[in-house]
Amino acid sequence: MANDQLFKTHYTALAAGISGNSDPDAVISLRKSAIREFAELSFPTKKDEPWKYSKVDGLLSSLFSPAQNMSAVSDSLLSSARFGNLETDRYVFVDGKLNPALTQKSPDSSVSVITLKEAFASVPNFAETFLSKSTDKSDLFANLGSAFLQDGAFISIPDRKIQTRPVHLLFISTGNLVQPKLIISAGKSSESTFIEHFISDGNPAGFTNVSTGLFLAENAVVHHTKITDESDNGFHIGRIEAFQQTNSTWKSHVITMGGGMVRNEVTARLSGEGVNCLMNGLYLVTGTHHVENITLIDHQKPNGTSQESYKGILSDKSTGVFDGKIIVQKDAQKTYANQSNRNLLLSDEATADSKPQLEIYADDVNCFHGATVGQLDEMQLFYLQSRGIGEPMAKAMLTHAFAVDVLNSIPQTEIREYLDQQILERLHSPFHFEETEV
Amino acid sequence: MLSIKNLHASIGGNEILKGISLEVKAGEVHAIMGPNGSGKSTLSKVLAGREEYEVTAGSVEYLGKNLLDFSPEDRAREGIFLAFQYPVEIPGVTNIMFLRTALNEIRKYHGKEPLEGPEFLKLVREKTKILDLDDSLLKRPVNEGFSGGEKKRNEIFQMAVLEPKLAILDETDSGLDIDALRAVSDGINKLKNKDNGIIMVTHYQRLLDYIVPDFVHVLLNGKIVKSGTRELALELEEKGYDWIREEQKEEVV
Ligand SMILES: Nc1ncnc2c1ncn2[C@@H]1O[C@H](COP(=O)(O)OP(=O)(O)OP(=O)(O)O)[C@@H](O)[C@H]1O
Ligand SMILES: [Mg+2]
Repeated sequence: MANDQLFKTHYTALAAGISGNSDPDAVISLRKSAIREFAELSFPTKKDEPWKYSKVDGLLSSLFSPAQNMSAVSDSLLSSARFGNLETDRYVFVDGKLNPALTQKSPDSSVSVITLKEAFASVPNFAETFLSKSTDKSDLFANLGSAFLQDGAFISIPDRKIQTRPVHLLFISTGNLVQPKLIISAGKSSESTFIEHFISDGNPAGFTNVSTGLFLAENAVVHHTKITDESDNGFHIGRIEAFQQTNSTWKSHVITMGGGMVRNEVTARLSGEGVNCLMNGLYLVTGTHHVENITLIDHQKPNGTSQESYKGILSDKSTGVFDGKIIVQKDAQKTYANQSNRNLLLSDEATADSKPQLEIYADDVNCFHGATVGQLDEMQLFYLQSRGIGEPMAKAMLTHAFAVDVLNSIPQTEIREYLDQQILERLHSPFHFEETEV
Repeated sequence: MLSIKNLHASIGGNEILKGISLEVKAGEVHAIMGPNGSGKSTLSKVLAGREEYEVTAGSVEYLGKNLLDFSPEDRAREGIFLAFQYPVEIPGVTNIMFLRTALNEIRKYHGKEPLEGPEFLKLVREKTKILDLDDSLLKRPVNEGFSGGEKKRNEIFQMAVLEPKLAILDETDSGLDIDALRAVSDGINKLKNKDNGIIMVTHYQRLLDYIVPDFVHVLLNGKIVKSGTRELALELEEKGYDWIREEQKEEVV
């Protein structure tokens, strides 16, 4: 395990060297304990449960360092990352660091976005209430993130505020070690939309290791869409963990369109009664790329519902993994949970692994799950062709049709259309999506 | 316009078409009848280009070209239309999008500009009226959850929009109520002219009251064993197929 040692030595040395003199004591001590944990944990292997089909071991042979200074980003890159004419509050993070010069927001926005440093100074018990709670201390990559804790943001929306303008969090990687930590706190009965959007400037090798903690107070509604579309040469590991209080609703969409190796971990803790959780995912994988989605829905209290649908479209020699677990704890009576994972293989050389799991400890529940791996339907293809539609276009139409319902629960038409367009481009489709009004 | 000579086709090593010959001239309507499993749908699908069936012998000439050389989409672009016996459901693709894409693919093949927006809608409106097709079916995914009759009507609606030269209608009359049969027949009759050919597969002579065929053929066990005019259909309706089977046996002896 020489590589494992090299990996550890590289990152512990870098972390120890972070100049953090101006950082609050709490941050410095958090980093120190994370470095210790990181050094003690071993690199995950195929024998470790949620890593069975993982390809994170590529990280052992490519080591990265944080960016030295803030890179400039081009206007064309910024404007390519827009969702049509949708008005958003946009915050741009370059290599994980918020660049306030690029912020665009409405003056009457009710969302506050501040740096972690500012949060430490202004939010009481920030570390205990938010940071520690959303950091899994037994996870190597979570500790790696904490060991470098500096970048990211604390985002909050006050009680009862309805924020109709989506908050667009745009992360641009220039090919470095990028480790932002995001905390989103949604107040009681508030409603908001967040888009976490990861792109690269060019096609650099890089490693994005991001962690997001979402805290939904009573009756809060949060629409959360993560779009990963980074460099083909990059690694991306993202952890999202939501803590849901009574009657809150979280609608999560995790859309993976680009990246050499992408691992999305998405966890929902339904810690109040009557909580709703929607977890949708779409992974479009091409070339020799690899995408793994690890989800966990933890029903802790009665009357919760969760609806999960992940779909994979795999072409060329790509690989896709879905490992989804639903836990219904003893207290969580009258839980409704429905999980499905469907995969479409567009090539004989692509593979999909699917592992849906239910762990039920309550007796009065309604839970379903299912998984499929299949190809395009021959009869459907022939039907389209028999009407004059060429084979490439017919395939694109059917593939698009397979994917599209995952996006239907995104409320903003412009975001759906943007994603649609991106999907069609990835499929090299000659077919352009445009609704016909009747 | 269509000349089928000694066509043999099989699937999984099983021969289903065993030497079919059929001539269809422009302006003609041909009816094909025959018992279940005799190969009527197989013939229709082979003509439309379903690759699952292997053509092992024979030839098909269409408008002077070797039809078997064409992909299914190019056959459609060249004017062949198959109304499926079992129209296929396509979740996630709306009927109207599907139709617009198909129409514009065909137009592109002929070097024509795509028909968009109001022009396209005008055409659609015109055709829905003929077929008495409910507007809501346009916005729904192709055939998904359509009733049996709605599916058949939708096939003929597509035909009306795409305006093929040779229409192959595989049991389009099955499962239609009386009003639908009339609407569908209207749609088919509108296509009928001196330049177009129609092949109708049917079990019932009823349809032939609305669309009068020039020829009626009986397909039995992968072969056309008898051809005649309208009267043959009436005779079949009355007597069934046994007498033809008997005739066949005698011929063999
Ligand atoms: N894909 C297939 N695989 C195996 N057998 C097939 C296939 N398609 C057709 N056949 C067989 O070929 C024969 C002819 O079928 P076909 O559907 O052409 O009959 P048909 O004349 O259209 O009958 P019907 O009047 O019931 O519609 C049948 O015995 C059928 O089982
Ligand atoms: Mg049939």
